[in-house]
Amino acid sequence: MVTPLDDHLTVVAAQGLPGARPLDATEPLAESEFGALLRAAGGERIAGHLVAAIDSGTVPATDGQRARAQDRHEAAMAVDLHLERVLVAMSGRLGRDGIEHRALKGPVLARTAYPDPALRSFGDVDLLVEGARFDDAVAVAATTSGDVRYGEPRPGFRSRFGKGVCVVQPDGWEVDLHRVFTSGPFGLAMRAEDVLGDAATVTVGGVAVPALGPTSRFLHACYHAALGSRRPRRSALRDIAQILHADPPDPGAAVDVATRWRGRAVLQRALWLTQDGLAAPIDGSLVEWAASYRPDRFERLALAAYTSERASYAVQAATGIWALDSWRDQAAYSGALLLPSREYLSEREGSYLRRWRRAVRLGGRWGPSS
Amino acid sequence: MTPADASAGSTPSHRRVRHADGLFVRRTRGALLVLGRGEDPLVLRDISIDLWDALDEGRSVADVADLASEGMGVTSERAIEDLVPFVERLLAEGLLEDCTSLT
Repeated sequence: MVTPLDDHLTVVAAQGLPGARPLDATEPLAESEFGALLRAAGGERIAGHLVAAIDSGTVPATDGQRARAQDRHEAAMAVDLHLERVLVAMSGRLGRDGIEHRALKGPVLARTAYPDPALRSFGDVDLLVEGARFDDAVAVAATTSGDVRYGEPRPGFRSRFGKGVCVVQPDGWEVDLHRVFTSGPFGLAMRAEDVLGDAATVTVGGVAVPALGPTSRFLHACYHAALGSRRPRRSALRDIAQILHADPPDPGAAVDVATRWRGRAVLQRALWLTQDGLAAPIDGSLVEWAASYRPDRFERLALAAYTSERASYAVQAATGIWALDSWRDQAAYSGALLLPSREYLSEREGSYLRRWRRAVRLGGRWGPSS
Repeated sequence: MTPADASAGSTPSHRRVRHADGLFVRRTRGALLVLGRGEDPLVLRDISIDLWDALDEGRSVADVADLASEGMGVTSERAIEDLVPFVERLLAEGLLEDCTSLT
């Protein structure tokens, strides 16, 4: 059921896109209703769009409501500026150590897809790092006493099979280092060389920062929206619509890469979510392609590990083995997950027996034959 | 530079400054946020944004004071008195740099 707040967010998130519809209201919202919209817009990272929607008349508002929205937007922009300073510092440190990396998401899309960077707020710093130097990158990121979250089951696991780690800086800002775009089967099916081979540069704080190229930018936006959580933020959906509108990728290249990654269903889901989650139409050859694409068996099963009611990181990890082609990789992957280090185990199930029982339950529930 | 220096004639008020390189800036309708060396961004509004833009164009502090005096309806001397601490703060935060090539 679509609540009035959902509808308001749908309108705000589509602000400024071609064909976007306004709020179905001629008078300002009641204060309580506007307060709920303001809080939600902040959480969805679309406070800038809310201010723009008020200024354009898409969302009728009183002067006081406009001022509150502006305050919220300025608070978000202050965070963005801090994060950009962290990004530039981290990129510089990785670069000095010769570690190939690419900036992801907010700071990049703010400059490549949006007419004004102020419209795209973000909450952390994301960098994709070459797998071969991933552990070096973690060491560099943690140099300034950063706290590394998410241990690895066995040494070398995350640089070979992992999605990435989060390094919390001493001042509280978070830097996410990614090896691939997502955990689980779709992350393991990705080919990192496709991503690193599609490069661009953005200027942040006067410094050139390596970033994803156009095809990878679009695919990453799709992976993030489709697999990041069961209900993606509106900002993630707006990213996709904004890229299609202002910085469109080559549709054939996007589908080709998604095919190599066994991720066409991810692309399709992201486009469908965007169609449903914004009060503006999206169109073009990719949308037409998504309307007729039929996911294969791997994609259907893998997608369920991210999107079903019982989806979890554990399910994604357990089902990741489907994406590994060689028996060596399968053996190394399952061996590390079933026989992790004692330190890793003590932070989770506590004993091998409990872990194996859980693995059997997950395997029974999610196996390809189910 | 003190207000007294600024009006002393050896012309610190004619000093030219410009944005420091590599600033982290967001501009929105009604506000300009600039993050310098500190923890909190400087938030400029109204005529402060015009002054910032004028300084960035390489206009001298005295020129910018004229702009401020027009905008605020005060004398040039008073505008310089108000402006010098503002410019000094921006310089201290690393948000502006002396631009000797323009002097």
